[in-house]
Amino acid sequence: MLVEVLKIATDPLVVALVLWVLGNIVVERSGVINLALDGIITIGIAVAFVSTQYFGYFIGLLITIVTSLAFATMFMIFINIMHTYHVLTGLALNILFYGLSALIGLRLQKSPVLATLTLSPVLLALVSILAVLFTWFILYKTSIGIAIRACGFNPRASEHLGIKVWRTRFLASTIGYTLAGIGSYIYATVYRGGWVQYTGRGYGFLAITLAMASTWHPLLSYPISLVFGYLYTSIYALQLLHGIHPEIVNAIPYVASIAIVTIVYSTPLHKKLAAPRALGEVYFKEERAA
Amino acid sequence: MIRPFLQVVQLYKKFGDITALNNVSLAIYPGEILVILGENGSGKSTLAKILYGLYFPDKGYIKINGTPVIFSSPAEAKSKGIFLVSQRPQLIDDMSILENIALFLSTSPSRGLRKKLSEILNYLGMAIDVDKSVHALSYTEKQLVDLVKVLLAQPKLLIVDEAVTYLPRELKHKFLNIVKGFATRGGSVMYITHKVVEAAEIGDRFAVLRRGSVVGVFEKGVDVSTLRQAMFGSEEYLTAITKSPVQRPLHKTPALSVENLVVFDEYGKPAVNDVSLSVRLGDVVAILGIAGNGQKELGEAIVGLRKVAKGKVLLNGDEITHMPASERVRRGLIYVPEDPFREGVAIGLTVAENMKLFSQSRVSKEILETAIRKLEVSPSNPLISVAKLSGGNIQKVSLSRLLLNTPRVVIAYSPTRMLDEKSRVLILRTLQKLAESGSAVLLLSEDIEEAVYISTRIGVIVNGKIVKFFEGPELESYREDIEKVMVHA
Repeated sequence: MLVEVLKIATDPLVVALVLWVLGNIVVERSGVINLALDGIITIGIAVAFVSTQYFGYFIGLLITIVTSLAFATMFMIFINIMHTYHVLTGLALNILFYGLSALIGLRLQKSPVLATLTLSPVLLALVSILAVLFTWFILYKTSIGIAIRACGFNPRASEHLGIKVWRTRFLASTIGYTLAGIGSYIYATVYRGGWVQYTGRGYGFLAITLAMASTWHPLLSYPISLVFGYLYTSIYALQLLHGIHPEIVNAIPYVASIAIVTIVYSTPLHKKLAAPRALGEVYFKEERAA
Repeated sequence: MIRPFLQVVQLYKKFGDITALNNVSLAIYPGEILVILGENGSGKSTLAKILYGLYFPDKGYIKINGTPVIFSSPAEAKSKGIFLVSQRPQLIDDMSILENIALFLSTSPSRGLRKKLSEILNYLGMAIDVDKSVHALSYTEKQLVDLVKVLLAQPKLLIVDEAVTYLPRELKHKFLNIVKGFATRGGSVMYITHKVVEAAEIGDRFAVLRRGSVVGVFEKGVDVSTLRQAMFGSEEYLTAITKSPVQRPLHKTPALSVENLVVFDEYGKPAVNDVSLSVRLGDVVAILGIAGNGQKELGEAIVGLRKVAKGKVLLNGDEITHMPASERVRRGLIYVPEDPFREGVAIGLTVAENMKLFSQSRVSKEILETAIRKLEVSPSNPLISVAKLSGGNIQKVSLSRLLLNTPRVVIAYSPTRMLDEKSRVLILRTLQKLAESGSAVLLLSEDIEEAVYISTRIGVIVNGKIVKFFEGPELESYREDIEKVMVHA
């Protein structure tokens, strides 16, 4: 059992997943439904793959983070400056980002493979655990984090309390997408070591679902990500050993997160695990009054 | 001559086609309490919100110590020492008191802050655990926390927008003393209220707003009646409503009755607690209380928008407690919500489409036009999108549901909030006429004036319980008593 857990916790795919989930938690805690995540992850993976081929591992990491942040900023400009609907903007941008990722990967790659970066398992596990603690500390112990959560609960009251809502949301997206960018980089260089069109597509939605299943709490998200990471990494083993179809395994996280959310919201648990109440609300500063 | 701390210069602000502020210029000096007096809808809150950076003026500007400034957010106003306590507490319900205060002061919830906060709360006689979530507090407690947060900051100008108006008397005195002390130490206070007598007691100078304009600035020692005259001018709209004859023949059996109703709010706290009431056909009953005391939840439970935890709702003697809202509408129970924008109409549809939705059947052109004419909706074109109308006219469209159906029972929750005086009178008169023609009307309100003017019975609700019913032909004479019950208990 312990061996199994260690194996999962040090699996680069799981580490990437943990980072994506954490990134999503920070962004959604600020009240923005983060549907553009999937597209930005897909681009991040393509960029990590290509830029590492050109500039090496370290510069590749920086370029991946900067690119993720750039596209996240674009998403945030739509939502916080132009006040567009979160869900529609996120979905529309995803399509654009998928296309862009294909363009970057196909046009710029030197070869379809990349020598994987070997990192020690301890380092990998440490990265994810530190990221979890970092996210928790930021969100719950610093004034920035309290402001981020406040915007997710009630942007109007937050404005009254003297928080600049749009600035706070940009800040949240910067923190969140830095984490997500690192995740995409780990996926491309440490786990995958190769790229075909649309590599990584779908993980963003998985991350969004897992964040919801952990009620947007970073500490809870870790064990939950590990469990689903286990299911993901052992799809073939499960199929061989028990004859479970991979499609069913693939569907489990989505079914389970709906179940968890239902349980949380139909019991008094939701008072303890306060979700961002204003998630997805289009917020203007000046309400229209008569 | 000392220099003013803050000056507003020729401020204009329009919302749609309603002018909220019209060429307002004022100055506030250090060490003085400037009272802004005005009726509901006179532009007091808009002025406060512009000074606090929540609204951006259409024209005009603000000067602080002689230098023009532009605030694009409250954060900037705060950095200049301007703090606002608004009419309704602006706190994050899901967070603790300590976290809210930390947010406001832009610090982290440290041990030092915790100690300071507990001290000031104890001084005010409110021994609450600062880690308690705000949603667990009563409305008065929330208001207190909202006030305490500014006391912990270092304000230069403190704007109090009706925030102490409805506090229990002792607390109110404590706060007014704190405010006075703050002014004697050189701070400026802008005290916004519609209560003339209270204003006269506390103010050093008085600026009276009427319909968005400053109609007079008075020095200390001014006569209360002078202030009152400036406030109301020659137009006393509400008195234009004649009370209908009280000895109307009333049916014996109630059209609507509520028995021992218990309703929970979003956080699982009882918002309505063991409420019983009944309304007969032809009668207007008002349930009056300060915002947040359960009126909204009571109304929503009666019309089927909120789950009833315990108790019964009867319509014409039939139990409807767990019936779907649509079935209640079919039986003649019509709800008029507070906020026409969000709950009253489908904002993107046309006036005609909205009215068709209300009536749930074919509406002939004649019926449509009659409704529009009776309610004085302007512009009167039924094919115009509701989004293009002003707030008052949107509320009128929302109210057309009362004319297109034959309501037996009408539940109206603060139907005149956010409206100007003229629309307000029209809407109250519509409700009154409905009662005269034989419907039962239940008005859920925060506004003592309108309740007194149109109803025959007033129940006062505090913390989800109706603590007292007032009845009789001369409800006006009970005004002070009603107010006392509202803030006490």
